[in-house]
Amino acid sequence: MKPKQLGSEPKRIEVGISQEQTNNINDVYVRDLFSLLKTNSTVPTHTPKKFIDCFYLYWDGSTTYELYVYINNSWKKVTLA
Amino acid sequence: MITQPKAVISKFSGMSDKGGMFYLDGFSIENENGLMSLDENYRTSESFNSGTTGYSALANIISIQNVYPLTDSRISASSGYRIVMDDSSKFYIYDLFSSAKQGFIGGTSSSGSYLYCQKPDLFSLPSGNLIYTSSNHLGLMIRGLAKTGSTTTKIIDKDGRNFTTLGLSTSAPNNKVTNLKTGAEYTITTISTTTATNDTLEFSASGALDNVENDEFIALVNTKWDLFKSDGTSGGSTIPNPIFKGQPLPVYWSRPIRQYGDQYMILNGNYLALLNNDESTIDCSYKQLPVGFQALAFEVSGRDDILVSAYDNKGQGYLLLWDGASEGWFPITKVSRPPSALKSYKNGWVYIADGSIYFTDGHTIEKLITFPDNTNLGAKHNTTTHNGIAVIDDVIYFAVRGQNQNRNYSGVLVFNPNFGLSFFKCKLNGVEFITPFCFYVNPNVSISSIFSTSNDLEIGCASSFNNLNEFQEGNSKEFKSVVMLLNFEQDTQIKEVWLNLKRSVKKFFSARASKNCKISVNYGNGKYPILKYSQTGTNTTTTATNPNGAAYPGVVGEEIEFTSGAVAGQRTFITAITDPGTSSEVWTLSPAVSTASASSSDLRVWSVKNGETKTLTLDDLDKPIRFNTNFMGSRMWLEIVITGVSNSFPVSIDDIILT
Repeated sequence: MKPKQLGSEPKRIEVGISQEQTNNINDVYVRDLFSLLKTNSTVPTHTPKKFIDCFYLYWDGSTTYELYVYINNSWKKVTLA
Repeated sequence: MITQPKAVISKFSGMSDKGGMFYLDGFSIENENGLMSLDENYRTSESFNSGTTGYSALANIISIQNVYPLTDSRISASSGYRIVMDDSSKFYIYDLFSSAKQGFIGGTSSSGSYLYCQKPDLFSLPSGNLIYTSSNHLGLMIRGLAKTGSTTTKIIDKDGRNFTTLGLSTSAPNNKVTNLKTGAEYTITTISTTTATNDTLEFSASGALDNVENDEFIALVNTKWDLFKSDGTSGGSTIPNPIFKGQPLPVYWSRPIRQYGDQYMILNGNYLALLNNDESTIDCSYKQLPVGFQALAFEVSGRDDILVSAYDNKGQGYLLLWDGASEGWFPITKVSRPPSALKSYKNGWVYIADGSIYFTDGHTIEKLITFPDNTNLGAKHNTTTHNGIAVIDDVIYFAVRGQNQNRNYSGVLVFNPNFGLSFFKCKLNGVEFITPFCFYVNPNVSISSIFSTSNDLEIGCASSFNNLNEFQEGNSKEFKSVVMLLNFEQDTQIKEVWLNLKRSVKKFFSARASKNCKISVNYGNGKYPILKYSQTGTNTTTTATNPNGAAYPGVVGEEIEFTSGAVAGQRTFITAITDPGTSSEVWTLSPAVSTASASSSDLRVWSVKNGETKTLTLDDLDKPIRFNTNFMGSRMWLEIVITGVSNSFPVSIDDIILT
């Protein structure tokens, strides 16, 4: 009688996020494009990390309305009428 | 005539909830051109412990930093020396080549508003200084060189820094300076001017110990920054403490420090604090967690994203992601157990929570593997502190603590994606099952030569500093084991277990005398549960009392493994019992353990009996080694134990043949 083979060969466990899950994460970023930009009461100082964060709306609570754009590693603004 | 084998085991996989070995202690699974083997692998050595001269007060090591000597220093450690911090806010130095004075170099548990915390951190800065956390403060460890003119009673700073501006004074707790070359700790009595304003620390002499040019020193500003003031100074606005009802006392907080760009982040309860690289400007309320959240751990990923592990005032766990720029946190993911350590890995983080290992990119969490003792309820493996995960190559190490009656007891859990989980024990003064708290992956980069490729995994443990060795044989008090459950599907008699053995090929053979090994083959039929809890009252080397004999009676023939006490980690067998089943039960033990103990010890009882134990040499390995057994049943518990002996070598088991 042939000897019984006991024990099993290990399966390598891949560490990382699957493509399907990555697609779901991409959906999160696409969702950014569907929401309104928030109006802020302070001027921007942060370094944006996403496309949508390169645009920033500012209102001083009175008569100053500004659109900030992150360009060439700094924030530039236009005043809105 | 050789009998036809009844079963062969030549494929091995590590511990996992998906099957594999029941227990792997000190072993790994290797593959050489398709030939799989179980190799004796992990073994720690102790660099120093509380029994070493100079380290007697060493407590739980929570943080390890490798520090390079300052340029021109009389300390000659070209690969750096280690400064470690324990959970009583004490600092110790370790230099492999002893060019620095070994042992305690300063620190205090409490003084005025200064108070240690149980999970502090220590971080080395490019300036040469270090920062460290305590209950209420971020401290500054000033490092410098003594200038010509320093004497037995004064140290002049070679860099001419103003010690008063840096925060030193003549009042506790900011009045201590230590010469790292001599080990002398001084109490500052005067801060005076020699060359530059306030560049001189004066003190009473410590015997004849001198301070000479280029002696390296440290001075501790324990209360440098107040973490409960927004700008770290008494003039800043107060950060409420507690900030929510039920927030734990700061002494219990976890306070890791991590680099973020050119700045340093510190976990501060409900906030992340941010220290500028100028080592002056700090914002202690830089980024707030949601209301009622208490942070446990955080880590910066390779993409500069920040992941925080936290729980709320109801105990619910969360993982919070922040890109370092946006408002708020996104996403905030509920988890059943917030991990107490996170480690940056690939494009995200890895962690262990309740016995399961996870990978996350902050958005999605994927479970990689679960320790097989894991059940939904009850105590399970969790990391002990925020520095309790290390990654070398593709292998992840977790410093874990669990229950001593199960497989998931304290030690280091190793996750190798190629074969699953393994485990190894840490030790204090040769006694095993000591709790590990932190890791430091020391790349051994030498500042005086080419880039090194020799990694060390250094492990901060309870009162002991361990260093991991790979493919390393044990000494006489050390045991490594493999336990597997075999299913024959019908009643089968196994009279012999044959092992095809070799010396592990993963490490070169240099000491020709190292040709011995001692191997036991033990087996059980599952009549009793494979693992049982027990406790001895006292033990000699050959006997042990069992005051709980009525509740936890011993069984003649069973194997016991001490998990606490003077002989923790050692294994032996019960060969006879007097007064069985009573409170005066006494076991006779064979083989003898290394020492007697007047205190009680916890035990794991393995329900296997010894088939045969053989002491072998390399000369015996040209044929299978045959071990007698007397097994009859359909399911067999098979345990192979390697006992360290004099001049032993690391054993590799190629296959197991059952006849």
